[in-house]
Order: sequence, then structure tokens, then C-alpha cells
Amino acid sequence: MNCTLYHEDVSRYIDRELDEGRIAVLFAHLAGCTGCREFLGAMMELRSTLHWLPAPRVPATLDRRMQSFRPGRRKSAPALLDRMSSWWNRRLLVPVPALAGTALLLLSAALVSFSLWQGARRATAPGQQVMYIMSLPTVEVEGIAPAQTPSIQ
Amino acid sequence: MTSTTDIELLSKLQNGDSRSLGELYERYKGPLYAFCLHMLRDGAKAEDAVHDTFVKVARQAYTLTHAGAFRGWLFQIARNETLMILRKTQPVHIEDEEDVWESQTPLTLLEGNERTEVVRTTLLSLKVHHREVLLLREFEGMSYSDIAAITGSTESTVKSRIFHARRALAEKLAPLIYDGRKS
Repeated sequence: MNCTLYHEDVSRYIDRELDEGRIAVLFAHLAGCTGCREFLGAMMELRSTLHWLPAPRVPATLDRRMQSFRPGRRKSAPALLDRMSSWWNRRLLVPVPALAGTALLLLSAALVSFSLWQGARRATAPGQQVMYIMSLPTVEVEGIAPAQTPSIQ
Repeated sequence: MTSTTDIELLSKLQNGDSRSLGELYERYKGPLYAFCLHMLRDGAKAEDAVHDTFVKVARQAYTLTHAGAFRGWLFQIARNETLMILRKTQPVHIEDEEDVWESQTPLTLLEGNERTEVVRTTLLSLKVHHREVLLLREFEGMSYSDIAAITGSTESTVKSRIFHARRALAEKLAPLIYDGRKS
């Protein structure tokens, strides 16, 4: 095993992520390797240096922004009604144009059917039509002789 | 103790108590702001990232089923916010695990600055994926498995990135560290 692998173990050792067995192997190596002992020393120094870095001060503007922040209504799991509503929204979101088209088609079909039905009803009641024609009043216009009703022979 | 109180606060937040959000903010604003600042290297952007993180916490608290995982979840949101901001200005991708530096700042250029500034500037020169794991480990004391969960990578990757980042930092800061020890 070369020293680079022991260096990785040194890094894990100072993070307390090295198991007991590996710790024993590492320390056996450290006892006879000056380079790795120096590396361990350098790692410990670096850790100490990083830990002494002062923490940055949180700006007051951030505190003010957070104080003025008001969480919205949704802070808990959506209620059953909400979940159902969103389910319906998802279902209806895509086919809305299709739904409108279908409704228009149905309306047109209903209108056509109604007109056809009206036509058929008139056709099945001829007596009424004759009566209507026969009862038309005769209009007399000055200077024009009324048309002679052709006599049926 | 803290985690129990976190759970209680989260439970209150899930039940619609907006004051608990303020308490969670007070508790985590320091570590979160430090994390976002070190990730973004810009105070105003870090402020936005922390703000947006808590807005998401308020809106998505009910999605967190395991309240004990709150801290990791919080940092995961903050990490995603920072990466989203970073991606707007620069591509964030992984090339080589051993290539840890984003920008090379020779130590000689930092002479005359405060020691802490030199250390911070060097830390900020690490690539974002190396920087994030080191920040979570050194400043938040998180385990490799927690960091892996937050960053969406494996423990092995986390271990490797932490090692390479530390080794590079130690090499670069060696003159400063050892000078500091002598004085």
C-alpha cells in the first residue's frame, strides 16, 4: 500500500469515519513513516485553521426581509377536497378545447334534429296545410279585377 | 435536545404556525448564510439564497415526512438554491476529482492580507463541488452519509472530494499555517 492511500485514511480518521481495524493499520504505518506523520500534522493544522475562521455576520437586511415575509395559506398537507379539486383540474386541463368542441357539436346536432322533426311534423299533417291555404282572404285592389278562381270541372 | 426542538418547531410549522418559521430562521440563519456565502462568494446573492431557502421551507414543510431529517433537508434546499444561482452565471460541472482549484490565487498575491482573509480566499478558490463537501464537513460537522444525501452523490465520492480538497488546501496554505504556528 502506498502512502497516498494512507493519506486518504488520515483524512477519514480526522473525520471519525475510519473503522477500528483501519485505524490500527494506519497507526502501525504512521509509526514508521515520517511523511504520513507530517501529513497527519498538516491535516490537523488545517482543520484548526478552518475552525478558527470567524463566522460571517448575517446582514440586517436579510433579517428585515424575513420579518416581512408572510407564509402563504398552504402550510399543511392539502385537504381531501383540495386534492380532489386538483385531480379534476388535471383531468380537465387538457381536454377543455375538446370538451367545448363536443358541446358545440351536440348543440348543432340538437338544432338539426329539431328542425328535421318540425319538418316531419308538418309533412304528416296535410289537412292543416290545405285549410290554411283555403282560408287565405281575397284581397281586392282598385283597378285590378280579382283573379278568377279556376273552376274545378 | 436541539433536534427534538427542531422537530417540535417543524411540527408546528406543518400545522400552520408561522411563528415557528421565525424561530427556525433564527436558529439556522448563521450556518446557512455562511454556507451560501462561501458557495456564492457574494453577500447579496447569499442573502437571496437564504431568503429563498426559508420561503421554500415554509411552502414545502408538509412534504417532509421524517422531521428528524430537517437539518439535512434545509441544507439540501440551500445547496440547490446556490447551485441554481451559480448556473446562471457560470457552468457548474465536474471534470476531474483531483483538479480542485477553480481559480489559482498564488499565496504571494495574498501577502499583506489578514491571515483569516488569506485562508478564506484560498478556501473560496476551490471548485464548487469540492468546496461544498468541505464546508458541510468542517463547518457543519456532517457525516459523509449526510453530505452524500445532501449533494446527491455517494459516500465514496464525498470521501474522495474531502481528501483532495484538504490536501490541496494544506499544500497551498502550508507556509501560512507553519508561520502561524511558529509565531
